[in-house]
Amino acid sequence: MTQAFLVVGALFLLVFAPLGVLAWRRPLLARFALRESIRRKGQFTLLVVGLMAGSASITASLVGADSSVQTLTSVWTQQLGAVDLTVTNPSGGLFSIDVARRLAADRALARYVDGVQAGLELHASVADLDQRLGKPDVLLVGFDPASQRRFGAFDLGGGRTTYGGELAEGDVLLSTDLASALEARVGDRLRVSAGSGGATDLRIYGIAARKPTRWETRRVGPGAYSGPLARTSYGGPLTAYLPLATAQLVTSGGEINVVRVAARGGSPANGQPARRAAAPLRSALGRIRTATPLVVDDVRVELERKAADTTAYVVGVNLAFSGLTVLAAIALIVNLVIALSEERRPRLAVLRALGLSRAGLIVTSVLEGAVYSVAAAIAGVVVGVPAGVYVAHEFWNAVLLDPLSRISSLPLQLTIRPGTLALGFAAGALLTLATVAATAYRTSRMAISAAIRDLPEPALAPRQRWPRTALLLTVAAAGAGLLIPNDGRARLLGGSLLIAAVAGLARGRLPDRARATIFGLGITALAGITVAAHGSRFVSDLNVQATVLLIWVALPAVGLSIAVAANLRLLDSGLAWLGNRSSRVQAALRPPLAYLSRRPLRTGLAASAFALVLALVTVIAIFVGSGSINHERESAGFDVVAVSSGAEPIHLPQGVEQQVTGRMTLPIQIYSGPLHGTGYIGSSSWTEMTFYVLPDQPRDAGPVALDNLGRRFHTSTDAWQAVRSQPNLVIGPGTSGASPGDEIVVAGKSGPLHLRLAAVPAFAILNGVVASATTVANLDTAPGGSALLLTIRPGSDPSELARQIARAGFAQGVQATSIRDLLDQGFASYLAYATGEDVLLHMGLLVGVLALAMIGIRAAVERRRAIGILRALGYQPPSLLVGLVAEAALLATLGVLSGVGAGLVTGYFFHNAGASSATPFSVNLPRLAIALAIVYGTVVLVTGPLASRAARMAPAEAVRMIG
Amino acid sequence: MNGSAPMVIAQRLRKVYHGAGDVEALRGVDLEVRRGEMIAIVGPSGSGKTTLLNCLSGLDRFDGGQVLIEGTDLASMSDRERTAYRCRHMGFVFQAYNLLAVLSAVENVEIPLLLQGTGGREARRRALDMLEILGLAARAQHRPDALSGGEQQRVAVARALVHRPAVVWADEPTGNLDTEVTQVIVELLLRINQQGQTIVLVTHNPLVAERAGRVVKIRDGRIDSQRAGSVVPAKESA
Repeated sequence: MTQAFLVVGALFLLVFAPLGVLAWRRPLLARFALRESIRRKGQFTLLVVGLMAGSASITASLVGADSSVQTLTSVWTQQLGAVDLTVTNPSGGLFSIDVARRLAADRALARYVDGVQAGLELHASVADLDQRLGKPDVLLVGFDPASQRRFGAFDLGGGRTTYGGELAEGDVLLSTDLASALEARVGDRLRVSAGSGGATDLRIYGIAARKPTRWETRRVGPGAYSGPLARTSYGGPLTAYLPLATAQLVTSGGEINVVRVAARGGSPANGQPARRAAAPLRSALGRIRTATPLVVDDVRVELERKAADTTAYVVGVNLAFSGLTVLAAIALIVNLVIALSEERRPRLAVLRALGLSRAGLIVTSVLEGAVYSVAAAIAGVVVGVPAGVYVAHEFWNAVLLDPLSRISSLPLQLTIRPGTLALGFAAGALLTLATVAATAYRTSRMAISAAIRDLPEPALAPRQRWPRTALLLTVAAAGAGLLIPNDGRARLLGGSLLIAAVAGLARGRLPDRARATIFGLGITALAGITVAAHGSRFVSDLNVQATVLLIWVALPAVGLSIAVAANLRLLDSGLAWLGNRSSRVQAALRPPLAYLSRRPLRTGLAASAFALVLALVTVIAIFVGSGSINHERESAGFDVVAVSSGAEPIHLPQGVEQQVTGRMTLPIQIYSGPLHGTGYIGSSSWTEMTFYVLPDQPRDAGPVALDNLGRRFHTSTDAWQAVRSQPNLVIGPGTSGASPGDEIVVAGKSGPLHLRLAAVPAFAILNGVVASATTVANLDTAPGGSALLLTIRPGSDPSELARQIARAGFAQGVQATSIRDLLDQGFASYLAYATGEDVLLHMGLLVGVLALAMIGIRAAVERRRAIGILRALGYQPPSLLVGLVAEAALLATLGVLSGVGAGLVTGYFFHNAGASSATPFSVNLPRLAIALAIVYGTVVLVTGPLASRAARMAPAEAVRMIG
Repeated sequence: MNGSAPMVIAQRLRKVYHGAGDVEALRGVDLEVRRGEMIAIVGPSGSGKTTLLNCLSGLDRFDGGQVLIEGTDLASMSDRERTAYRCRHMGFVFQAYNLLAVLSAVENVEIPLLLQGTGGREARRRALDMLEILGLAARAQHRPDALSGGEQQRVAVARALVHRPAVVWADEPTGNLDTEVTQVIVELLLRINQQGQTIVLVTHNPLVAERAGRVVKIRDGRIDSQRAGSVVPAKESA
């Protein structure tokens, strides 16, 4: 973002500074530009409001992204605590505590590190025996109180802190999230069941707050530490902190599995000290003989990288969503500049006659554009900030609703950086100015004598056109060349270039209407063909998905708008037919229809403003509609899922057992070690991943519904059978952004193991990878408990049965949930995220709405004389009112048809490209209906009063017949 | 003046433009327009010619006096009634042609017929007939920006006549035209006046005014003088 700010900021200065000089050197032009811009206050206001949408959308995207990423990064930073580097066994095994002691004593290393701590990190089920509540998959963090001072004190509330020294054997600290989940109190008895070991009873000594111990502390306190790993996207597991001696009671041994290192001078915002300390730490480790090879993990650097990747992704997605608003705003600006230049043509021609050069005319327009752009950019930033806050709020809401999220205590951290605001302002201003300048160049061409009398431009003498032809042929050849490689993006670009070049070459050879139709339908077809052929590749790459989606949505939306606008004359035939039945209707509708059909450029631009946004609204409605929960299908036939991290099998109470008609048990194995993943999975030098071991029977079914299948699988049955028979195939984790075909490389017993995702479930019923026993056997994993999926008798209440299972198994830390509840929670999270992005889309709708308002005002101003003539000839005001409103409604309908049509085409192909998706294609009609209601409501509310005012204009006043 | 009954009678007509300072554009004008007459209203700029035309034709409201059209008081008509009256009984020709730029010549001409409820096919036939009479049949499908100034004004005249109005009001109908085309338009107006069409026109051009049956000179919002022009009124010639 900083780079973008520097580039855009420099560009802003490069453009606006010379404009300032020009205004100073040529005050006449500046005065003229200023007065033209503010001549009509109402129009100026509406213009600025319309133009601000681009800036507002950019600002909202950036503020939304800043706040979202800042909050996530903050969670991860807290999750890491003071730890910058770790030493682990890549196979996840235990090693001697001597390693930590020798590293702490290493003099060469001492210059680079603040602290070295022996640690033990285990996954366990935890039960509060007093509150009779349990939780599986809790991370037990064993820490060495002797070295804890270097890693910060636990804040126990009420001003009490501890480094753990005063904790007796068997005492434990809980994180606030775990305490909240167990409703635990200080002094409660806690039962811990980890891996294959038995249960260990402990006592809660205190609840460790998430917040920093002191404001000046360079890192947050350890009360949020949950290891340098993020098995979920949004935060680590629930955590308990135990002095090392207590943790070793659980493992029944004196070894450790991690050495935590705090780099000297390190801080959450600065990974440099961690980088500096990494090499000396590796050297020091090399000097220690160990039974198994140990590795240094750059956990702080990885966190920085993850934060940067997430920033790029979130900014990319947000900007892509706001991109359509920006495109719509550009269409609005071009339309307005053309309209204004048409209105002012005689006045501008007089200036030209008086000696103003064409360049001077362009400068005047650009100076006027600068007034609009700066005013609009300021307004855009003002509006964009709250919109961005809303986007971020919905994003964070989605995170909190996500069933995988373990965060309950961290509020959204609103982040409004001056640099972001400046970027939004500069980008918006430049965007507006560039569009005004380009359009002004085009409209400044005029035959002065004809323009002064407001006569049409005389036809130009034929000119030598070979340079243009040569250029277009070159573009066509380049476009054709790009079609050859089997790359969707290249083909999209190549096809667009080829179609544009062909349309350009056909000028003078084909009627404009035919050219526009060929161009419009051509790029629409191109988008459809490329998304059908290449969509699946982009679906599997979320980083480019948003941008590609933007292009795929924008092309057909604009294409259809152009094609439809060019062929509106066909409606004349319909009107003639109507005229034979009602001449008055024909009289009322003919002028407005003619204004639309015979000015296809302006009609196309205005329709495009709507179409662009409605296309994306439609695509989102398809995503949401097709993602709607079919509980029966998504549950894969199961009603309750119970999970325990202990070695004991999950026991069902007698009452529950009688209700169960089917079950599937999946042992859980925890992998600890390096991970390299393609696509959104990413890489990490050390992470933990949960594997659910698939039972052999039934061969053709699994514990979860598979929505996103790999291309080679036609049905879920195919995928389950393949996963059971092929050791390199697994089912991916849900909602992690992973896609079928992505690869996960993990450390196997005999070298790197490449696992490919055969399919991915849409909802995260199980938080991890599902694999066959053969596959898991190739990995170094530790037992992590088991998951039990149950099918119950029809009519039984799954939520109630889940409660009974959890109550009965609380001592094992069994957590049981109704699958329906999990699905609903996941979908609520999905909807919350979509709601945030809707804000950006609705800004685009605002552009469309304002386009209508502007067209209403322009119609009243430009057609003042025409309205006067019609009134003089006998048009009654209601007839004119109906005509003007019908014109706006028809224009909006063009945008709706083009946009919804384009959205349906793109959404359909994109949906199907989701690797032969098993989910049925469906549109969320209420979501679409709201957008359409806004559009048509605007037609009535905005254009109605304007049209009414115009229609009531006195005819003599309108025709300006002054004696 | 001939002896036929007055079609339009204006008595003590007053019109004030309200603004920074009120401007009395008409100061008690009395005027009668008889059926089949062709009247030219002349006068210097700002004298009130166009204002008078607007008030007489019902395009504008007035502040005092009375305008009777075929015995009906214009002031007593609602805007809706005046609009309907204009639609049925009046035709207009304006200085700047004032054709609708987005409609073709024939579509412009058929507007008054459609407004009166004439069927689409019938309206198109009559509009084409009128254009043919005015020598524009070949240009019927062209839009105004493809027509010359004279052609545009002839289309405007066709539009003013196509529904056979009682009066044609023309405001500087030759103001934008060169001498040659002015002559064509004046001859056209004379020809239709000879066929019984009542015409009231405002003009600066003395050559145009001289061809009218009666020339009304207006100055400072009052009628300064009236005299006969060169045209023999339609009724008399008939």
